[in-house]
Amino acid sequence: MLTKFLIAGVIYLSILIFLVRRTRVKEKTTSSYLLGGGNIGFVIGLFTTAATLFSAFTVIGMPDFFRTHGIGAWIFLAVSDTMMVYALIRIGEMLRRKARKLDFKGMSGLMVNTYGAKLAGYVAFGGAVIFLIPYIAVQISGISIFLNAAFPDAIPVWAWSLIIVGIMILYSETGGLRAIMYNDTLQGILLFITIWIIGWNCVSHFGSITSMFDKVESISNELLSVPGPKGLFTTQFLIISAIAIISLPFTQPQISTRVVIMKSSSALRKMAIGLGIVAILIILPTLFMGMYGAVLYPEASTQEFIGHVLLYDQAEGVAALGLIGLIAAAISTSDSQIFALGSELRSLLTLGDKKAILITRIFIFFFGILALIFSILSTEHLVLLARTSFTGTAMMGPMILVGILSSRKPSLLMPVITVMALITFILAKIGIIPSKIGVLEVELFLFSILAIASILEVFLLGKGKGATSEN
Amino acid sequence: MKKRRVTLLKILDGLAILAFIASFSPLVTPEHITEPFIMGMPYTLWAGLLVSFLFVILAYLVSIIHKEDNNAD
Repeated sequence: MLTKFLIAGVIYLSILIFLVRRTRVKEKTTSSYLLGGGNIGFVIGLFTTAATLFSAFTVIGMPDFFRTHGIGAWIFLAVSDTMMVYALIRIGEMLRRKARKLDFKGMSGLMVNTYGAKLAGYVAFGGAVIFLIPYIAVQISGISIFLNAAFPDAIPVWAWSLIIVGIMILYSETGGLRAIMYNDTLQGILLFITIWIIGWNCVSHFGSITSMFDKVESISNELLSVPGPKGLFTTQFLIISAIAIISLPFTQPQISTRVVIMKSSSALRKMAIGLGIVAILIILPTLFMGMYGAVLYPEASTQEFIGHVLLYDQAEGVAALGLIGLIAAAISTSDSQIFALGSELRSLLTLGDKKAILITRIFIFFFGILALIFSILSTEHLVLLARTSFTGTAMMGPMILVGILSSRKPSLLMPVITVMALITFILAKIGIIPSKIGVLEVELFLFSILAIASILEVFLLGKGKGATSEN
Repeated sequence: MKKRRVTLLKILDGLAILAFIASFSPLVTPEHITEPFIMGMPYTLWAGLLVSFLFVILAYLVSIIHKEDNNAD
């Protein structure tokens, strides 16, 4: 199997190198290097956004989530993703309009301009760094541990992490966002094909979808309804997850940048609808994989189950493709996130473009190393950490939305309340304050406070204020 | 024309909000209920699939209404 993996790996790396050479930016400016020239068509836009969105969290995490917690995972991710598509198509256009007017370089810079205060930008940047770095790290470590388990005699876990981060930094530094997007397209296609071959094999094992669910029902009836065998999918859990996922296009900079740099409004609309269809088509096979695991490996650990479903139960060629698909999924999300953190930093810098780009590139390298260090240390569960990352950045959602939608310059109420919400959320996550306030989960409580603050800002404080800085 | 477009968008937003509420109510996610099965799929799964398709269709309808609107280009 190692030989086939190495052959597939060499082919994959060769295509990556070819694409980097094709997309290499000689004169690195904010527009060409960080924003990919700002002229992205529908097809590339769709695949890069899909590859950025569907990470190792989807390939490893979702099958395991379906296996452990049952079909409520469909509501948790697929329904929330299609809700996100609706939000994207309704608000994306307004974000693009604001971005055009205020010379968009990143969401943090856009917030500085919109609020007319650096605090808003620092909050957006700080929130992104705090919640994205651990998420990037846990993806890298998840894949590295898995590769180590697949090839125990090859190299240690940290060396796999180093190779993955090395590849990401190398092509991000060389080709910029355009290289990342072309590679995302390759990786998105690879991920799609791989996950469907494996998902289909899982259904074929049972003969049909009906017999698959019959078998699952005979093993654990609880897997076929909410809240699932462990009671995870409560109404509050699902609502918090949905709010977090719906906010992604505006709160996670790697996605908002892609929304802004689409070639045209028409391309954005096609991309959004395509993304909804791709979300359904990508999550469906992970459901099949999860149900297969629920029947065949109900007591196995995540690593054992993923090892079986992706590798040992597949033909060698498919297994090699599965491993490459897994690496592609992790890389395509993590590189975009690391790069987006660099872009966010750039949008806060008021230096000359050349110097700002140099600093940004140094920090992209630094963020990569930071993610590598965290990945060697991290042990967290992939899906739940991803959800924490989404929820954490979603705390910034109301502030960002008020900034995007407001035609006037908002007061500092939203940035201040957002900082307090972020601190409260972090304290609750590390156990210093309770995770429930009354009957409400702390996240839902904080979302409610932020919603009230937004209403206050828009309907009371916003009135009589001056216009935004672009006018 | 613009007024009609705004009205249609409000209707679609209303439907999206209703679908959001339904998704987290016993209508789509009743606790411990697996029946009726359709095409072998348990209730919450096929209801969830329908909601997913509904949101994509709503997004498509918004895109049709916005077709002539290219303000950000």
